[in-house]
Amino acid sequence: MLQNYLVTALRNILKYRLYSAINVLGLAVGLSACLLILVYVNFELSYDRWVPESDRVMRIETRLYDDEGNFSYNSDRIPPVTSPLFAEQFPEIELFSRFLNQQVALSVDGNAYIQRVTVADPDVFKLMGIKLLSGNADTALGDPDSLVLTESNARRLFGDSPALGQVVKVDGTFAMKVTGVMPDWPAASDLRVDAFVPFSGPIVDYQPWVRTTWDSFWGPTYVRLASGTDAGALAAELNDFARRIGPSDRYQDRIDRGVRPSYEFHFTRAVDAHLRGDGGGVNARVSTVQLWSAGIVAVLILSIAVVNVANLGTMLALKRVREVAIRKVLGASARQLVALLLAESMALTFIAMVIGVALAELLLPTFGRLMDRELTSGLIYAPATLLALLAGTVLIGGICGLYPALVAARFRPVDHLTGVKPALGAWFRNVLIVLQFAATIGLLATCLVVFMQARYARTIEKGFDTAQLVGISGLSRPMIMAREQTLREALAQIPGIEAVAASHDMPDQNQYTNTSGLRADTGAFKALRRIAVSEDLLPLMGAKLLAGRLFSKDHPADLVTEPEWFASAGVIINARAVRELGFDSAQDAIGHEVFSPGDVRSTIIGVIDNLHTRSARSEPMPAYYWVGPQEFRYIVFRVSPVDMPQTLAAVDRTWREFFPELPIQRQFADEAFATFYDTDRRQGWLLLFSAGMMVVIAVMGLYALAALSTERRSREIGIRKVLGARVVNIVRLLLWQFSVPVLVANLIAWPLAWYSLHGWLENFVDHISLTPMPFLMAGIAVLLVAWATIIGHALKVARANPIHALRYE
Amino acid sequence: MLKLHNLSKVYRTDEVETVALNSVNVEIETGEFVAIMGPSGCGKSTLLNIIGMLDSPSSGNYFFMDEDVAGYSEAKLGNIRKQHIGFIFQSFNLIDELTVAENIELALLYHNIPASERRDRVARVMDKVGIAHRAKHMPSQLSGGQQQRVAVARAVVGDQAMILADEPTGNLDSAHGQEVMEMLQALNEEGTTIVMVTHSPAHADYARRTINLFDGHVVTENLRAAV
Repeated sequence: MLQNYLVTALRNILKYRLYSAINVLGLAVGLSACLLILVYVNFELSYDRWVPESDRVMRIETRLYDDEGNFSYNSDRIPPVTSPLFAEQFPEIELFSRFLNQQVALSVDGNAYIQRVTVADPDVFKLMGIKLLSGNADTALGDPDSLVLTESNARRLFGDSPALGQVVKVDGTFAMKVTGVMPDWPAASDLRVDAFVPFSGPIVDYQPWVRTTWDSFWGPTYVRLASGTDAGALAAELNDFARRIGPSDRYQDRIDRGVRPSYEFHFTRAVDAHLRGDGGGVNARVSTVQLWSAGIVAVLILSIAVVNVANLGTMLALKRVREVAIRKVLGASARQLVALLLAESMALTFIAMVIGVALAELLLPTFGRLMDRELTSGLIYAPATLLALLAGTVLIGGICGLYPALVAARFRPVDHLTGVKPALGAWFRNVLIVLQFAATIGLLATCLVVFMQARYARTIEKGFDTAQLVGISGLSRPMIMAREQTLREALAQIPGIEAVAASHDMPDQNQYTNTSGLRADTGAFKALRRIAVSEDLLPLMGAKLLAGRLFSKDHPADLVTEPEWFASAGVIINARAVRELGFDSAQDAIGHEVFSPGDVRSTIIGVIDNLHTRSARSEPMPAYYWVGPQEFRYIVFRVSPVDMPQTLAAVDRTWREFFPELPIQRQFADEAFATFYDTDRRQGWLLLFSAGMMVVIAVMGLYALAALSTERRSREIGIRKVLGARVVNIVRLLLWQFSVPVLVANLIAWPLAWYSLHGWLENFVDHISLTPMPFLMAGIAVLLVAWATIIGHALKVARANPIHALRYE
Repeated sequence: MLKLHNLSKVYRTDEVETVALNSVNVEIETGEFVAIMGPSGCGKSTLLNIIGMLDSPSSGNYFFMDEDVAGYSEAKLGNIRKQHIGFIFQSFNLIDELTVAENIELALLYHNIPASERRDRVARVMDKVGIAHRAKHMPSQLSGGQQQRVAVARAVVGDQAMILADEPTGNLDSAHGQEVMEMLQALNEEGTTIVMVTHSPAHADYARRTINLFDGHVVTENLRAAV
């Protein structure tokens, strides 16, 4: 019995090998796509779960309030000066560490390397559960000159020779000693750590004020709370304590005025922190919403594949009615038939799963690169994943096989011995086809809009000319700051350099943001972004002057500033600040006086249009520009397009003459802008990947369905031909048959995609307006793909001689 | 109307060569009613298919209305077919998803006839074969005899000069079979040429001439005396 069944099953598979192959491959593709997306989702969810006692490890964050006491934003950082004070005061804080990133140049044997270092506290290893490969974790960050490297960074610097005990020169000025080597930092972490240095060390001296001021926020701070601590209550005590010892202008003065303090600290669980990110920008975080959508898409892809297989399976089962009918006449029970058909479908599903897993592993590196995540196949071969896959196989096999099995079981053999084909589930199949195309069209349209927005964001009027604009970063280091002016003068001598200036603000990943409270003589008091520039920067950028004048050497009185000031005698504000400070127009603002911290009085000499130096997700902040050499962070220059490589080489040469042990870090403004949209691009790629997979699966399903269905219609087509239909009539008829579901699918997909895209675009300050174009394009593309898929069958059937279809009925 | 001269049809597979028709010479005049008889496998249906231009001969000539169509392309044959020839099948071959009226209209759909005229002609022909009251029904709701009447209506709605009927009564009981035969006879009396394949000698008697086939040969041609 079983053998006989196996033989017929196998012969059936071979007889319909094309459909069987499509069945298995379609399911495999669906499985692998689903697997890849779920691996990605799982990876995002695993952030910081590797930290021991992760439910008690918290990040301290700050809510900031403006001068009227209104919430202005949440920062994931706190002033570095506070955490040792908190840890000392509150025994509930068992362990703490700050994570302050800095970039330095290390020289080893005459070679200079750029090295990211993270300033941390000695307990960091215990807090994060890091075991050192060499060195002693208890003392590794004890001395100010200690340096702990990750394994691969140690290898990068020292090759195969042991790193422990080696001495390196930092930024050409001081020496540090390797006191430990740790494993590479886990990929599933927002903290990217390449090396640790202690807070007591000289690198912190680059910004000495962080040791004392409560106004400087830097890096995240993580703590482990004692078990049973109520984080909310502790945060309240912490804030009380901060009010007592913190700066009075942030706390007491405001409380006296009846305004809420400007800071409020709170705890966020480390494991939640990754998904609570702001979505865009430099951290490249994803939101929970995005992960949910990715998960839904994964399930959608898989269900479409399953639906296809079930669909095809049913069609194939219908081809076997005569066999099933004969079996029933000869005594097979319905239960036996169901069991056998189910077993057959599960076996096919298992084969599909094996192929799917192999496919997923094959695609994983490419997929990981697209998503900018280090995804490894270990994530697929985890026991839990494999178990889930096995369970999924049984489930999917069941789903795929159940419908055909039930159809087979319901046959009344008498009806089918004559070869009459039952017309079961035709509407059901059509609904499935429609849904499948709706999903494909919706995803494609979404893809198009995401890419259109990404392209648009790069062409948004930025308020300045980005072409050939280059920024050199790293000026925060004292040894560079000391010579930046002479360096600028040297760079200006290079032929091909059109102009050189210095600034605090450039399109970059760093995104320095300084703010000052500014009181205008109109009475308005607002926090404005403070941007230090050299007097020649704004003309170099091509900033658009709306009123007044720019800084220039012709008006030396504007440029006067003192080291402790946060404004020069003349300041320039941007268009947004005009509104914020309560002026009627740009012209109106000119000549008014503003007072910066320390009651320094300045005159507004000019108003420029807003400079968009950041992602289109964030609006330019209201800002004022001043001449403040101590806050320069970039040297900015514009290079002539003629002989550009030679010019840039000359720039690098000049830099080396100045700082032989510090590699130059320069970036074109246009490149920086491109990286701002990495997250969006990644989202776009994920969508494109999903849409592509859906198209593949849908095409496979449609191909097989079209083949089977045109075959079913062959008698009708024969009749039509006998009655005079030409090939072109028949082809049109069949194309129309498959066009209707696509057209209906558009009606479902368009409003849904429109609605969700509308919401997504709202995230951007500047965004494209939704036009019907991408929706029509997606619909037409899918229609064309559908036509291309079925045209072969249609032609074949239309050309066939009708007598074959009509004679053997 | 048509003339077959030394017409042969050979089916070849990899191993076997089957001669379905062997040097057949047949002439059918306009307005004739011809029955083709013979045992199963004698080539009746092949002959009918070739006459109906659904199949082409392996050799020989086929003159249809004085034109040798033996070497014509599929498209050209299709054009001649839809203008002059109507078909009736043993298994009716109605399209299950279309109503009676739609099934009949199908034969006009490929003729570039305006919709209003199509409706008129369908209505007229339904009256003629007595199924007007069933116009909106699906084929599966009709009896076999009614289905075949729909098929007859479909075959003549385009004013075809010749009807080819392949065992039109094969699936019908004798009462319904007779009904269909009378309908064919009436059509013939109106001038339509009819060529019918049948197993039933009684039904063959409706024809004025019977061609007997055996193993691909025409063995006898009986002319029935005028009634």
